[in-house]
Amino acid sequence: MDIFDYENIKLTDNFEENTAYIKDIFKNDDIFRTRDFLFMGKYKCAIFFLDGMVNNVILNESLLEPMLSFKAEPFEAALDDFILERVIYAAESKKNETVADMLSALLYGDTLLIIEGCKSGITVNTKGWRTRGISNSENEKVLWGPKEAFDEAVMLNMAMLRRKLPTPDLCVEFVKIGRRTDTRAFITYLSSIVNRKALNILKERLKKIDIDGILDANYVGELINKNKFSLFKTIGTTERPDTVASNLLEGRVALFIDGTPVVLTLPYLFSENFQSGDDYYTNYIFAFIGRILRYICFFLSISVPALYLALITHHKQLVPTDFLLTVIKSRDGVPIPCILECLLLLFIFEILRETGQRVPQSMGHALSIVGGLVVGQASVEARIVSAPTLIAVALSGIAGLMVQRLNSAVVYSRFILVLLGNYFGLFGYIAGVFTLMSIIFSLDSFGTDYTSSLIKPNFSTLKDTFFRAPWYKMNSRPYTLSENRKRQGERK
Amino acid sequence: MKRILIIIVALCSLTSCKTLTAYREPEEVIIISSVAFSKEKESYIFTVQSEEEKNNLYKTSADSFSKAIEMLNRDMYSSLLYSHCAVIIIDSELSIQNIKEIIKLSLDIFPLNARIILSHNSNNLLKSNKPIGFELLRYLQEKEDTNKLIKSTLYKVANQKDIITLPIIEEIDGGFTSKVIKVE
Repeated sequence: MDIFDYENIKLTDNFEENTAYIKDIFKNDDIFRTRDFLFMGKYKCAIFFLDGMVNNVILNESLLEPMLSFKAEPFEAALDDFILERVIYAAESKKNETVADMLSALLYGDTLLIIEGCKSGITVNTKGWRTRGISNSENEKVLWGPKEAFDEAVMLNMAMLRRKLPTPDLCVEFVKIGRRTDTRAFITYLSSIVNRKALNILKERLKKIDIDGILDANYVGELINKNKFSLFKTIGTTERPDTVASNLLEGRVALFIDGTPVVLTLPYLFSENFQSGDDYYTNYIFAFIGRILRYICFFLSISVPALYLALITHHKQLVPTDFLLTVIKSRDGVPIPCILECLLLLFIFEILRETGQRVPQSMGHALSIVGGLVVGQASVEARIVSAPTLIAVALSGIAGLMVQRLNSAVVYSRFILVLLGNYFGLFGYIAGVFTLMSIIFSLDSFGTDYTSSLIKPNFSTLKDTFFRAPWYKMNSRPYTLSENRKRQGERK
Repeated sequence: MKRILIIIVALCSLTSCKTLTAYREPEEVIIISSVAFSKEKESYIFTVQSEEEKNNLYKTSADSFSKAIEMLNRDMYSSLLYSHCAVIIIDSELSIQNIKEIIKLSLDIFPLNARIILSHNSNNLLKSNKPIGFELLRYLQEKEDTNKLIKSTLYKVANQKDIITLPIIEEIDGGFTSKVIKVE
């Protein structure tokens, strides 16, 4: 039975029956703990908790000790209300009417208190499970600026965000997703500047989710994404509190999910794929270089092998003579055609990249030797592949690493453009690029055009796209994201 | 659905592309670096030289230069790539009509920046198995810096009217000599 099966079930005023009922639910759970005691020497009480989920110190000091040491005194209110108001020290404790509420709290680290003669159960916040703690961001490293990254515990993540945005304007809406995992999620936004359209769409789509378990943000991301077959991300992901805070300050919505350090942000625009935390923490002139390099690298990563093949197989007249002669010389003795050579190298590169992500860090050096020397140099010397093709694929691969957020799009686009370039020449390549562009321009993210920051003729939206304008010039928020556009007032 | 339709239309339209038939692996083509036009008795000789170290000369003769070019292209086991041709050598014995015909023909086949030169015996220049095209081009480019008249790109020569100014090149002791003459 799942928690929602207990939604309409309530306890009785029979203490023995109630405790037996709770124990029966957890009869197959060996970490379930219970303790019976007498309150004021005469009222039977029982506490229930899950070992490892609670902090024993909090449990003892805020619940057990006050209950056991409480001196008898007359009271007029109901016993459970009296205990709640006068006895328990815990900052957060509440009366629950349904068994579902009691179980939900119990399973999340609270302690359940059942009292003789009461139909309700009191849950006391005694959560004490260990978390990984705040650590450095691994996937979104920056040279300067904040280093901290989110943790798997959603409440800790919320606290980290609160510390960045200590304003009552920050709204946090709680939702539960997953029939069995009952995963806690928080929709966060700044009330006065949020993109209402995106917020409403998100809430609607979250309501439609009916899945048994949510273990990571990607589960939710895929379930709420309208563009299900798109290679391009239309929902942002980040593990950095500063990134979430800056997104909220631009009118976006963030979705925190318990159990994962990844936070979803939306709407997500195409230009965000090329943004990095460092762009905002270093000088804007220097940031421009990095930003424009990422755009160039995206182009290179999808185009270089395709253009190379198109030129050397179809349009040799466009290739400088010396380069063409070098290609012909290096192809001497290579047994496979250019397209197979290119696909083989791309395939090997993907294997190396995938392996590099999975192997322990200590094996990274061995992998780079195998990848660089064995696969690269040796295969050229053995005349299995030619050096120019290897260079084209390597350049494409390295350039692709610059735009990690577009990884899936880059990998697939690269393969498709290689085939088009090889069989149809430059015409095929250009047709492929136009098709790719038509796909990108047709996307939208939660009611906002995916490329709105690039195509709308408004200079203010361009200030954070191909370049990052100095902060004193970014007076307004992107109008495609928020109607409340004023970011900073007049400088004095 | 619209997107898929656009992709299908885009791909289908590509099937009529000429480039489909232009597909050649790089090693399947012969890069021609220099060509020579000459005449022996009544037959017109067309000679090409590739950049390979050995067996780099291909020669054919026919009733006219255009037929000779056509025959060579048809009979070769690999396709000849003229787009990198650096030098067009014309035998100085050929008449002005022949030279004009060669220039007209060359405009359709060779790159516009290929150099046209005259030689007293064009076959002497291309005789050896040593590729000469780019070496000759480098020599001409050096000379062009000092003598502008030596610059004889196909484009420039084709635009000359009645009198054509062309450099005449000879090979002496492994080097070249040059002077400019007017062909009338």
